[in-house]
Order: sequence, then C-alpha cells, then structure tokens
Amino acid sequence: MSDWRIVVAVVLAYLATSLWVGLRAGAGSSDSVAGYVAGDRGFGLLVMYFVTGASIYSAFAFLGGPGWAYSRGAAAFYILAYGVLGMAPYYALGPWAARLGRKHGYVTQASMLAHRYRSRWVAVVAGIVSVIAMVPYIALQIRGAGIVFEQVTEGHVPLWAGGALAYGVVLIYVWKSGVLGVGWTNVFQGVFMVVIAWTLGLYIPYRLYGGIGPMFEQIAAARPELLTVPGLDGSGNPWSPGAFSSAILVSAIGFMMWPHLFMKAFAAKDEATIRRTIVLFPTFQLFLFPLFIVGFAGVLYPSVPSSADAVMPHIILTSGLPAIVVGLFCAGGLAASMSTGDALVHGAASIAIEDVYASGWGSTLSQHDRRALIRRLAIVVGVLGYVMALVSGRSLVALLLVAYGAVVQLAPPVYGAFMWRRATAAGAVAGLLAGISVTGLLLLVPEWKPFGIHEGIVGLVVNTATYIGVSLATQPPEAKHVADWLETSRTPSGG
Amino acid sequence: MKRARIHTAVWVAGLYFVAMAIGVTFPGVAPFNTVRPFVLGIPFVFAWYLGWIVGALFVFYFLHRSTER
Repeated sequence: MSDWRIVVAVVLAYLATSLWVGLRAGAGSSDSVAGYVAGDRGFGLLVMYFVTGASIYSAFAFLGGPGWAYSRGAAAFYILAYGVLGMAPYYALGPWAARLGRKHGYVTQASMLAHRYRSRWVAVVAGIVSVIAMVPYIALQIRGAGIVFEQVTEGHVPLWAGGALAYGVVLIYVWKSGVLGVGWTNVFQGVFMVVIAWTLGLYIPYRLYGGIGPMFEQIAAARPELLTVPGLDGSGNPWSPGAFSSAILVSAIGFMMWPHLFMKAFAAKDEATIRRTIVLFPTFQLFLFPLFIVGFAGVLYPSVPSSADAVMPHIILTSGLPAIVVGLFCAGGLAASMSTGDALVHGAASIAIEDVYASGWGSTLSQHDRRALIRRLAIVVGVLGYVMALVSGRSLVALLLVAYGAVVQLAPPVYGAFMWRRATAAGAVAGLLAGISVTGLLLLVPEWKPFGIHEGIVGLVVNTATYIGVSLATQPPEAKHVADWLETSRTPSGG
Repeated sequence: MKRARIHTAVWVAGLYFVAMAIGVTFPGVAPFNTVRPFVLGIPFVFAWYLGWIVGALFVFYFLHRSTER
C-alpha cells in the first residue's frame, strides 16, 4: 500500500507553505535586537491572537489532550480550566509591561525584572531558570512532531527523520526572520490546527456513534467514572481532588510566566492589541473541546492504541479515513508542535544572549552583534533540543515537570515588581532559588508532598515567604526609581 | 463618570475570575459534578467547564468596552 506516500506528500506541502510564510515574514524587519526579538514592537491583533493561542497549545494539547480524555476522563478538564484563569491577570500585566518595554527598551521578561530590581543577578537567575525550563519543552515538541510523523506513515518516516524535517524548517525561518517568522507562521499553523481539530472532533463521533450526545450516552452507561471530575490518575485509579485542584491553580499562576509568552507583550503594536488578544483568547481555548471529544470517542472504540497519547492517530488510521485526511491530521499535529517550538527556540536564544550573556557579563556588544549571536544560538538550542528528543524517552516528561515547577517560581518576582514597592533584588533572587530547590526536592521525594498538592504550589509558598522575608530584611530599594518605574507602567502611552 | 464605570468593570471581572477559580476546583465544583442532565449532548460537568470559558469571553468583552473609550 502506497497510502503513506500521499500522507507524506500532504505533509511536505504543509511544510513548504510554512517555510514560505516564515521566510517572507522577515522581509521588513530592522537590523536590531528589537527587530529580531520583538518585531520592532509592531504585532497587530491577527498575529498576536495566533502567536498567543498557537504558542500555548502545543503537541501536548494536540496529542496529550485527547490522550488524557481517553485514559483519565474528566481529569482532562483541568486543562480547560486553567487557560482562561491564567490569562486574566495579563489583561493588566501585559499593557503595564508593554509601556515599560517601549520606554526602557526591554525585549525580555528578565531584563524588565533586572531594571526594576536594579540587579543584573535577577536577570541572570531568571534567565537561567527560563532557559533550563524551555529546552526540555523544545525537546518534547520535537519528539511530538517525530511521533506523529512515524505513526501516520507506519514507520516509513522514522522519528529522527520526521523531527529533523519539521525542525529544520523551523530553524530556517527563525534564523531568517526572527520573531516575525514565528508570528506569521503561527497565523498559518494556528488556523490549520484549529480547523483540523474542529473538523475531526465533530466528524469522528458522528461517524463512530452517530453524534456527540449518543457517544456520551454510551460512555455514561459503560464508564460513568470518566465523566465526573477529578477523573482518574495515570494508573487508572480515581485522581485526588487536591491534586486536580492544585494542578489547575499552579498552571493558572505559571501560565503567563512562560517567557516566550510573556515577552510577546514587547512585540505588540500597542496596549489595545494586547487587551483585544486576551478578549479573544477564550475562543482559542475552546479548541480543546473537539480534541477532548476525539479522546472520549476512543473510550468505547473496539481496538486499543499503543499508548494513550496515540489515541487520536490510532482512531484516524484504523477507521478507514482517506489518506489525504490522515495527511492533514499529521500536518495539524506538526503545526501544533512547530508553532510552540519556534517561539521556544527563539525565546530561549534571545534570553540566553540578552539576559544571561549581555546583562550578566556586562557585555558592550553592538545591536548588530547581539542579533547575530541570538541567531546562532537559536540553531544551537534547536540542535540541543533535537538531541535531547532522541536520547531521552520517558525521562523527558519528568524533565518537563521540573521545568513547569521552575517557571511558576517566576510569579512572585514578576507580580511583586508591579505591586510591592518594598521588594528587593536580594528577596527576588533568594525567593527564586528557594522555590526551585523545594520544588525539585519534592519531585525527587514525592512522599513529602502534603495532601498530594502539586510540588510547584509548595515551592511557590516557600518562594513567596522567602521573597517577602528577605526583602524586608534587606535595605529598601531607592524609592524614586521604583516610583518612576511604577508610574511608567500605570501611565497609558498613546494608542 | 468614566472612571466609575471602569472601576465597576474591573470589580465585576475580578469577581468573575475569583468565582471561576472557586467553581472549577474542589470543593466548589462538587455540587455541579454530575453526568446528568446532559447539556446539548454533553455531560453536565463538562458543560460547566465550557460555560466558564464562554462566560469569560463576555466578561473580557465588557471589561474591554468599558476601558477602551
């Protein structure tokens, strides 16, 4: 059977289109760091909407979302709950950060913190935490792309080749176009993944069960435990309400702390664009609905997928859909992976150069040289992620858990920067280090977690206490500097 | 006049998201944690989670309208 060739042809057409969009996008950008990292602060609503939505929903949502609904039932609803909750504070925070960025020239979250706390160590620690958190996330995206490719071509295109192909394209357009390449490809990839998800989510239950209602009627009769929260845990036992609830809270707090998302405030054309993006964000969030529906469709499906995450490709491959649909699904999966992976590669390289290298070593490199370094580092980061994707299998998910726990720890210094005048650099650095240590420790020794509460939350409590305690114990920051900084954040700039 | 309206909108939005945080986690979600009645073919608690997202769309929209002009 040569059906897999049709699949590959469809996917190659998608990759070629992504590459074309990505290369064209960078044409008008300036030869500066702000041009490469923040798109000369010129992103309009269309690009911001898709950059936000498509960067958030990754291969994890596209494969893991159905996988959770299939194997853990209503536990998956936690993903529904945290997105909008996590986005809400950004309605205020995003414009505040954008005003400061415009005035002081920040392109990253850590450089904003360094200026507020007047300490390059804050930038270095926050920058290192960010990069450590982002690299395993990149590896997971590359692995996701490789897995989709391998499955739909029945092994004719192995994981290493699929991952290399998809991320080769990503690295080319990130190299050439910087954040503009990320932005415009995300528009294309975002439309693609949303259309594919909704089409499959409405069509599959109709084809298999005669509709969504009849499908849930059958599940309610056979497996009712899957339809109420907190659903099941990874091994099929009832999940604990405490773990479910704290997963929602930690994810909501950590949500916009992901540097590749937060720093898009510096790329927006104006404040109104940031606000409109957030207003529209729930419409993107709803794209999880059809993905969960596909997962639930797998519950009573006659055959069993090789793993829970493979439930969506499994149904698509075994229910006799035409090869072109399988190809489109594969391209949708790659779009989900690449639209997150490109923002991560670009963000990690920008942070490593701007915050860790330029701030930490007090480098006096020119804009031009820094831009050149960021581009080169993006390639290094991409290759590093690729190698990690190939050598580590399951351990990658464990690494990502550490990463998520680490990113959440950025919340106290970020929120505190805007809300607490007395906060000091020593407090921010000590809080970050304490929070990460506690989170890491509880990941290694899960028995010490109180009531099954997420380790990130425990770390966050320790972090916040340390942040407040050390800030109060150290010399107050210069009042005028903080007052000016806050004044800038609260004063609307034209538009 | 305008300031007062913005003030109200911010409060309403703030309360909505606090209510949402309570309503989607335990113990707040417990009274709504049932399969039936189905809502548009979807189990009740699933519709409950979707409803909060759709509601957020409206809350964001009114917040935006009151702050923009």
